[in-house]
Amino acid sequence: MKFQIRFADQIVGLFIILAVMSIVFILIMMGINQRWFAKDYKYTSSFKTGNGLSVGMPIKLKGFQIGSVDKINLLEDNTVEINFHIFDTYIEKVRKNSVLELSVSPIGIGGGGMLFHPGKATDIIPELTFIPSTDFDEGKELIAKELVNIPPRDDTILNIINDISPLLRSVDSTLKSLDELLISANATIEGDMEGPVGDIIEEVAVMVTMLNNTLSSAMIAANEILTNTYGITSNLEITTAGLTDTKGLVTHLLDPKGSIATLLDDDDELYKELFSIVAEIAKTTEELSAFVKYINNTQPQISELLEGSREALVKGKDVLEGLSNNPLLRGGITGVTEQPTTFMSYGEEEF
Amino acid sequence: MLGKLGRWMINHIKALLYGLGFFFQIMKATIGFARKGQVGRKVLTMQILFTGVQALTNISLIAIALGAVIIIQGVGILPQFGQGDLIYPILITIITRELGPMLCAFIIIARSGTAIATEIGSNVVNHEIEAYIAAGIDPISYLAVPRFIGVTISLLLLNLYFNFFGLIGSYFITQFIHPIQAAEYFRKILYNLHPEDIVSSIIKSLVFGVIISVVSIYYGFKVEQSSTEIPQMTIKAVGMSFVLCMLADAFIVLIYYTLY
Repeated sequence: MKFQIRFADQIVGLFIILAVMSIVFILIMMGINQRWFAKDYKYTSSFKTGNGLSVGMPIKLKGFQIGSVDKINLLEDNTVEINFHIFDTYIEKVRKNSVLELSVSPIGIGGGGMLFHPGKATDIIPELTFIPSTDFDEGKELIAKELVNIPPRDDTILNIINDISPLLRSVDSTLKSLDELLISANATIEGDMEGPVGDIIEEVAVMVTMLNNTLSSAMIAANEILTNTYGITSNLEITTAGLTDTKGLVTHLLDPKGSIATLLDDDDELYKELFSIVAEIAKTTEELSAFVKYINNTQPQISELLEGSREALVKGKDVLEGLSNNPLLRGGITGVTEQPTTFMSYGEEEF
Repeated sequence: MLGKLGRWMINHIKALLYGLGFFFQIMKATIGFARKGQVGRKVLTMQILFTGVQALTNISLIAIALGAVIIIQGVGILPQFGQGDLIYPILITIITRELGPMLCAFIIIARSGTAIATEIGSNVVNHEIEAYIAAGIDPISYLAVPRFIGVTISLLLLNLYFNFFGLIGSYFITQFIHPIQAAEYFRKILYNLHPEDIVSSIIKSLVFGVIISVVSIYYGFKVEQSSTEIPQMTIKAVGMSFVLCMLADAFIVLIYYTLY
């Protein structure tokens, strides 16, 4: 506070000077920005209606503001006269046959504006003269005679429509392709078409024919099998009937001229057969003996392997114990309850 | 009843005439202020220091906050309706033309209007005014005029600072939340800021400054004997300043919209 009071004059002087400088600076910048010191060229035009017109409305050429509307008047003949100016930097665009167009957005929100279309002539229109608008025949006639440079419209809806056209063309071409594909598929299914699908269908037809032949053969074989089965069944029925009468069968077996006597009286054929079977059994026993010997020879290696595994487990237990004793890891490994093995030899079993 | 109404009306007309006479006396003394010596100018400097310089912090903070809020809200909402550029006329209307001078006036009423009424009221109670008169010093020239000029100039300058901070300072705050291109922002602000906006703002701040200073000085001198009258008169000065500032604002706005 003492500082402020001691230097009150200087502080107040600075306070005033800064405020004055700021307002002067803002006024100069405003003047530059709003073209206070630049020359503007004034013109007039007329429209059928004042709808969409407003004072200060920018006049644009290819998106650039080249001027603005100064005044709007309703004349006695019910036409609307506007006074507008064009910036000196764009005065060379104001050529003979230029027209003005009031663009109004079709949906009523934004998008409208005053468009300036320069003429194709080279002469610059003098100040304070009339420039026709597209509302009247004079302007339309200049456009019809192609005396006006009309740039492409920056209309969003038009742009969307333009973008949709190639899409529609693409969709049309896709539909044509799909139609052709369906025709081909139909022809293929009908067998009129050569190609992989046609070949497959032909092969399927051949296979079906072959299957039919096979089934016919199988039916013949099945009939034969059924006939044989029938015969076997008849024989079995007779045998069963014979077996049913036990007295007759035993008598027949005990008869010296019966079946057993006949069986034994075969010139040692049965003996020979039994001998060969015993020889086979001896051979098998020898092979089994050799296998057991091999197992006995490999047992030390298995024992060694088991011993190695045991040692590894002991070392693993030590490592785990070391980890569990480590204060940094203590409690980090979940304890596991030991489960004794269920395997034990019969020798270790307690009675 | 009719007699009471008549007396009430006569008293108010008398008070109004007295107030107008007081105002014209201050104006008359103001014209001759430049011829006064070093003492009067020192009082004026101190008044600008207390009213203007010391209120600058509050004014700048309010201006930056108000401008930033308008920009952030406007930039977020207006483009949804395809009217993003409306933010600039809205900002200028609020900061420069309408709220800027009024908020500055409210702050000066709260800070300096009350101080002036209290100080002069104390002078009256302590018979300092009588002492000035006895010493041959005109209390209007010595006490009222420096305060009148000081408050008016301070309010004008504070209003300029309010505009400066509100339109430019708030832009930099907004960059932290909703970045806008600097060149585009300042170009559009300057394009939408018209001389009539600045003139309207300057006229408002001058008129508010005159109202606040004259009303505060008037109610300060209205204290008669007791120190208990000082807060009463201070409250009346504040209330009357608010009312007159709002009426003057409405009147200036009416003229502005009639002309433009």
